Amino acid sequence: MKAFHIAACLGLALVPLSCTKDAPELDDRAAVLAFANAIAGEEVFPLVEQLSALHLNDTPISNEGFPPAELFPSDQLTRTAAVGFVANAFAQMGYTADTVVLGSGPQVAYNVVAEYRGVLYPNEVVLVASHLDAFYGGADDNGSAVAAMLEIARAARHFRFARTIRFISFDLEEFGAVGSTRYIEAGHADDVTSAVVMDVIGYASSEPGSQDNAMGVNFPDVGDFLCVVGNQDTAELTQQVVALAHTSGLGKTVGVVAPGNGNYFLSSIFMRSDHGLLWYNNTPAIFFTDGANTRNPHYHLPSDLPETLDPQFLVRNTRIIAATVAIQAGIQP
Amino acid sequence: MSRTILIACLLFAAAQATAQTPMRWMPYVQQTGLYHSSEHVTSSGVGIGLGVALRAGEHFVAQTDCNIHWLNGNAATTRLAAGYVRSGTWAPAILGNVSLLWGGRTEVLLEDGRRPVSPVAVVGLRIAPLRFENDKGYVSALETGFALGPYKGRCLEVSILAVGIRL
Repeated sequence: MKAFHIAACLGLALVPLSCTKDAPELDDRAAVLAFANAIAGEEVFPLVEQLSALHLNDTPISNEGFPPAELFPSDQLTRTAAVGFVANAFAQMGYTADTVVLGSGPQVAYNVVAEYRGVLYPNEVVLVASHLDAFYGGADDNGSAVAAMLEIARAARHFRFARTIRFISFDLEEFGAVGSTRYIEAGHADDVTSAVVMDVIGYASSEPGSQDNAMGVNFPDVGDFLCVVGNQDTAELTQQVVALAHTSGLGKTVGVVAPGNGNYFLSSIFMRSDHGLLWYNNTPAIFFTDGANTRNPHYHLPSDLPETLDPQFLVRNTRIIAATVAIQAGIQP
Repeated sequence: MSRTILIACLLFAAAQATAQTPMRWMPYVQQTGLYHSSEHVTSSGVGIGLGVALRAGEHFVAQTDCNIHWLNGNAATTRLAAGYVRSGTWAPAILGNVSLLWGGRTEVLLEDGRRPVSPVAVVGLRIAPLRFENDKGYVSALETGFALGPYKGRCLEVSILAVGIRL
């Protein structure tokens, strides 16, 4: 009887101990916000329009080994013109752009890279990633994120950061994160200490019922927020970003924290982009998305065009992601 | 408050029952499944649990157990339950229970960046329609519990098979 009473009392005593956990304070909030607000709103959406036009006029690459399926039009994947566009954009900003060619056979990956050197810890690299391959016009998936990354890269050159920022546009994400997997497995990410990955960030809707749930995880009913996704390694960063966006008015976010490193069966939906292998390798990474097919009815369809996006939503999201980069890279006053 | 009242009632009933008749202890092991979904916390998985049941009088049963579930991180539950059991070989039971959900889960942060409450306490009912008992112990299949918790949480717990041995 005594054992039962002890167990019962212990269980009951723990009920009132249930508590929430506050977001950690940001030390350099003013500098982080200054960088976020350096994002030029008028610069972002034209990049999406240009990228989408390039994809629509490009020749699809070989889909050998990847037969088309519903929401996977593998015979419509383009990237060649986007590789040149991103490399040229980096060069125009004053970066030395590099194209890392990986793999062989019908699907060689062309990852475009540019670095901004850190002033205190240059050997510690923060990866800022988007993928440049797209089905059809790919305005949301993934012109929106490539445009955000390029605008962050442009703004970064007016600031100093403790760590090196490596901007990268991965290739062949749509064929199963092929470009990022090859990049990581070839050892190119061995110096990466953390990562900020973005994929489909430009579609919003104010209609009730416009946002679906994902694998049992309940999202708000209206799809007008940026999803900020972390795992246990980046839980505090996810909290900081959500808190900053909430208190500063940067934009509307919903933060999600996956259990462990995120690679469990029921949380695997949150690994669906180039951060997946980083999570698997226990590299801290945070992921930004508008929810893809849980929200955007044009996902992987010919109708994924710039006119379906919300330009102001995309600008707000770019600022939130810029703030995250500033936190991770250690923006200097 | 309602949670505290329910717990107090369960303990009072246990005290009344155990004061009048000899008690029978039955450690048990069970295969379990859990699905808890709320606006901010999703916990789920399948796993195993260990516990101890107390039978007192003709119709009183109380249980406490610890369970671990996999599929969405390593989630653990601690549970306290008490209720009515039919006497005889076929001994179905209905119990009120309080469970605490710990460990692995997918969280949707609160609007200001706070992480949702942990552990999550849920309160509900559990039925054991296929429970059979004799003087050596008991076997119970498909015990099913439904409970409510914070953030509009709904929790389904299933004990696929539980086997207890009378001490």
